[in-house]
Amino acid sequence: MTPKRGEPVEILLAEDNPGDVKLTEKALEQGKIVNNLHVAEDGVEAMKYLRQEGEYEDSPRPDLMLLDLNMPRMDGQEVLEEMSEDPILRRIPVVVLTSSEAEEDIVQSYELNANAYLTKPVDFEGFMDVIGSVEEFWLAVVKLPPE
Amino acid sequence: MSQWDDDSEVFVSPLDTGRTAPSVCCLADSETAAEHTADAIERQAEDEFDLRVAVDPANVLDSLGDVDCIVATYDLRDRTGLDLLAEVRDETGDLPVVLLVEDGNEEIAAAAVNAGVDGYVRTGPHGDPEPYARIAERVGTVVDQERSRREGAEARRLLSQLTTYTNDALWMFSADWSDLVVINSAYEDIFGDPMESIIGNPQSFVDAVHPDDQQRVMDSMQAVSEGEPRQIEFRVNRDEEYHRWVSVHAEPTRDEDGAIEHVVGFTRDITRRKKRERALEEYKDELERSNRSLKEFAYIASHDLQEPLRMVSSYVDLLETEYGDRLDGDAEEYMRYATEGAQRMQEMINSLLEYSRVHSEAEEPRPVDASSVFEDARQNLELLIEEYDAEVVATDLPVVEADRDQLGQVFQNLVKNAIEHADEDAPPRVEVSATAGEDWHEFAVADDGPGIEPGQQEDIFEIFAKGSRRDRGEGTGIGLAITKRIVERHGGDIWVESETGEGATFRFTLPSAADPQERQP
Repeated sequence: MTPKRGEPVEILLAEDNPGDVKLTEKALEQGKIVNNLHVAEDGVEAMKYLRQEGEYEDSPRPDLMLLDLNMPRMDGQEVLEEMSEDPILRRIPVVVLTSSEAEEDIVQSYELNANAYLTKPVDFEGFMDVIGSVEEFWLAVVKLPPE
Repeated sequence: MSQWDDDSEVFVSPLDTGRTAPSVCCLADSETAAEHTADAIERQAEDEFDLRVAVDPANVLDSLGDVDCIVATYDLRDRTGLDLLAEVRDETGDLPVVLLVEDGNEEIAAAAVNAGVDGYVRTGPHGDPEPYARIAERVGTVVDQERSRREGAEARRLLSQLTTYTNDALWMFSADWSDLVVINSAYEDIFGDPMESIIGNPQSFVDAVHPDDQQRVMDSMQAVSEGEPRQIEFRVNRDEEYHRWVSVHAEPTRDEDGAIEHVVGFTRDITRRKKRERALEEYKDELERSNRSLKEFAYIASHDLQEPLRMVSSYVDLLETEYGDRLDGDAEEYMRYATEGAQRMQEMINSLLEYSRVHSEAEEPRPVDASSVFEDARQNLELLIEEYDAEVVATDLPVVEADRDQLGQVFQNLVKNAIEHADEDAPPRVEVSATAGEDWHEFAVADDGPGIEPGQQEDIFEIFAKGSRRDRGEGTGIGLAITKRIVERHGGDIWVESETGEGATFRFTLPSAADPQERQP
C-alpha cells in the first residue's frame, strides 16, 4: 500500500465545502509532496470511492485520507466507524479536518481510529501550516515499517 | 366529660348542658313534709341546690323537663312513690329519682331498687343516722351522673359531627386490620367505595387502591400492625381510574400493658397537591430542556459560524497572495478591513463559545483559597501589567466555595478590564480586597481610572457591550458578561460602584466555604 518515494501520493479528500476543497488543492499545490488529490463530496461518496464502487471502479486506493467531520448524508464519524470495521480500509491513515475545537469531537475521533486531528484555521496562511502538518504526518507514516 | 383529658389528648370545650345549681323537686303528701325534706337537704347539702316543694304528683309529672332530680316520699297524695317512679321512667327515661323509704320497710326498698330508682334513703329511728345528709349526697351524685351521661352524649354528638364534616377519612381498626372500629363518611367519597362495603368487609379499602400501589399499602399496614407508625401516599378510587392521590398517616395505639390494641389514622385527599407537584416537575423538566437547548444553540451557533467566516478570511488572504501585485493601494485597504472584520468576528465567536461554556464546562464548586487563585490570575496577566506599567495589589483574600478556574477567570477579567480602561496619562493601580461575611464574602476590584457613567453601569455586563470608557484594549466586550455569568452561577451578585473621574470598584459576592479546613491552594 505504501507508495515508493517519488511516486505521487494518492490522497482522498472527503469534504462538502467547495471552498475548502479549493483551499486544500491550493495548499497541496504549494506543498512539498507530489500528490493526486481525489475529492468525495460527502461520506457516502467517500465510502463508494474507498470500496471502488461504480464510477470509482478504476480509482486508486488512497494512501492517505483527509476527512471533514461535518458532511451531509453521512458524516465523518460514520465514515470512520465503517472504515474501522473493514480490515483493509482500517489501515488507511486518516487525518480529520474540522472547524470544531470541541473536545468531544476530538475524543470521539481518536476512539474511532483517526490518526490525527487538525482544526482548520481562519486564514489561508494558517491553512498552509495545517497542510504542512499533514505532510509531516505523511512522511512519518512512510517511514513506519509496513504492518 | 372532662375538658382536657391527658390520657386521650382530646379536648372538648365545656359543654353547654346547664351547669347551674341542680333543680331538685321535693315531693311529699303534705306541704309540711315536702318543706321538711327541702330544709333538711339545704342544711346538709355541700352543693347548692335549687330546691322546690310539691304535693301534687300530677303537676310534677307535667313539668319533668324543669327538674334535674325528684326526691319523693313513699306516701304521696294519690299514689305511692313507686307509682311515681314508674311514671317518671315512662315519661323521661332517665330523670333521677330518689325515694325516701321509712325504716323497716325493706320490701318497698327492694321494689324501688328493682324499679330502677336512682337512690333510696331510709328514714326513721333506725334508718340512716343523718338521712338528709344522705339525701343531699345521693341527689348530688345522681344529678352528676345524669349530667355526665348527657354531656357524654353531647360530646359524642359533637365528635360525630366533626368526623362527618371533615374531608379526611378518619378510621380505627383492630390491630390486625380485621375489624373496623370507626370510619366516617369521607371514606365513601375518597375511595369511591360505599360505607356498607367497608363495614361489611373491613379490608375492602385495599381493593380501591391502585393495583400498582396495593403491595406498598399492605406492607405499610403490616408495619403499623407491628408497631411502626407509617405515612404513605398512593392512588385510590377505581371509578375515577385511580386519579386520586391520598396521604395516609397511620399509628398503632397500645393498651395499658403496651400491647397494640388498635391502628388509627386518617386518609387525606392530596390530589390537588400532587397535581401542583406534577405541574412543577414538568415545569422544571421543561426549563432544563430549554436550558440544554440554549446551551446547544450557543455552541452550535458559534461552531457553525466558523465555517463561512473561514471562507471569507481565507479567500481574502488568497486574493492578496495571488493577486496582490495586480491590486492598487485602495484594494489593499479594503482587503485589510475585510480581514480585520473577519478576525474580530472570529474573536466574538470564540467569546460566545467561552460564554456558553461557563455552564457546560463548569466544575462543582469547592473550597478554594482566593489569594492563591488571584496570584495565578496576576501571573497570567504579567505581560499586560508590564505593558501598562500597572500596579496590581491584593489584601489577604478568604477561602470561598467556587470553581477554581472560573474564579481565576473572574479576577483576570476584572483586573484586565481595569488596566485596559485606565487613564492614559498615569500608570494604572488596581487593588483587590475582600470583606468576609458569615455565608458570603464580598470582593472588591478597585481602579483609579476614569470611572463609569451611572447610566452605563448596568449595560457593561451585557454581551458585546460597548463601554463608555475609552477602549485601549482589544477585548471583544464579553469579559464582564462572562464574569457576571460565572458569579451568578455561584449564586452571587456582581455590580459596579463608580463616579465619573473617580475610578470604579467592581464588587461581587461568593459563598464562603462550608468548611475552610479543606483549603485547596
